[in-house]
Amino acid sequence: MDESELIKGIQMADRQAFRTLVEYYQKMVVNTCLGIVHNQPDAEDLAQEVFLEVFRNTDQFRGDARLSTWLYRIAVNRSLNFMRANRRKRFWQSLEETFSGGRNHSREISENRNDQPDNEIKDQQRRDMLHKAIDNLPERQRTAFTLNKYEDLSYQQVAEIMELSLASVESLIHRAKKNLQDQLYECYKKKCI
Amino acid sequence: MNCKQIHNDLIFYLGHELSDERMEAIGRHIDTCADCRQFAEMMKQQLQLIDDEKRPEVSPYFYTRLSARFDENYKSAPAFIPVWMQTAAFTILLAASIAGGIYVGTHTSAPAANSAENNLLLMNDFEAEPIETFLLNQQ
Repeated sequence: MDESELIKGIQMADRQAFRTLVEYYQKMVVNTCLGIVHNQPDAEDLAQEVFLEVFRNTDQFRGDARLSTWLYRIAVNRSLNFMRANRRKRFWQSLEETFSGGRNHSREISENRNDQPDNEIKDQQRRDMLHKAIDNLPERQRTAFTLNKYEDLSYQQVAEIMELSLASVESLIHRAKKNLQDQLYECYKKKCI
Repeated sequence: MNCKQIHNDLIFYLGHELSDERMEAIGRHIDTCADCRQFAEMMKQQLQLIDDEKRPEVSPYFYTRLSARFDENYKSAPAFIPVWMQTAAFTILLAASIAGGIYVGTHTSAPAANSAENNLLLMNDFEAEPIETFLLNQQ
């Protein structure tokens, strides 16, 4: 089934067409969301929301870009919205912990870590460090970097998804890498991992 | 070439994004500088994590859970009506309204000029009995 047939099928409420779409693109969408939210269950939930949104809004798909480009855009927007909401939630949670003496969350972490072997803890620390560094990038740099590194998309493909020029994408990814490097160097100097 | 210059370009060196000449120069420096070598190794391990995280296995129940959410979302909502059907329904409704209006307009006639209802005589009480006469009669 080609893209236009898939879209027509979904517009006609054909569940089989919808299933075909999901099975073909689920890994791509989950991977894109995972690159931004860094949590598999959240990435899968977001991916489901992406497909539900596609189903609701197939009439908005103009056909001037590929279906995958449209899916990437929705996945990126949903993931970034999730991160923004999460950031606000974590802010209020940290305030709450400050007033409750920081007991609850810290105890949970230390209890979990006690059961893990040392090398797993180190791996987890490295992953946390990398995710934190990527999360600290400005949004557009983070999006361009994620699409290029996690989805192996070319700069041209990233430019189509983000609706930017090729030069802008090159600049964004270049700055993202520099920022990442600076953060990792800070961590290296402080011997944080 | 000093360490600071190396640190600025290390991530591009690890991605093989520099000219051959620069790649060689950085490679030679890393071979001789333990600190830069250590940092390069640390960066390499960190960037390797991205490759390790790529393309995770999606849960085999992904579509089942999506299907359940889909049914839940559309269970209480009206049945999904495709766009073409909505357009057709609207067009038919519009045409029916216009046709109905034309029918009502052409089949409803104006009342006849000399019908009995038109012969109502309006009575002017003041001409029949002026107020002065009325008051005099009261006395």
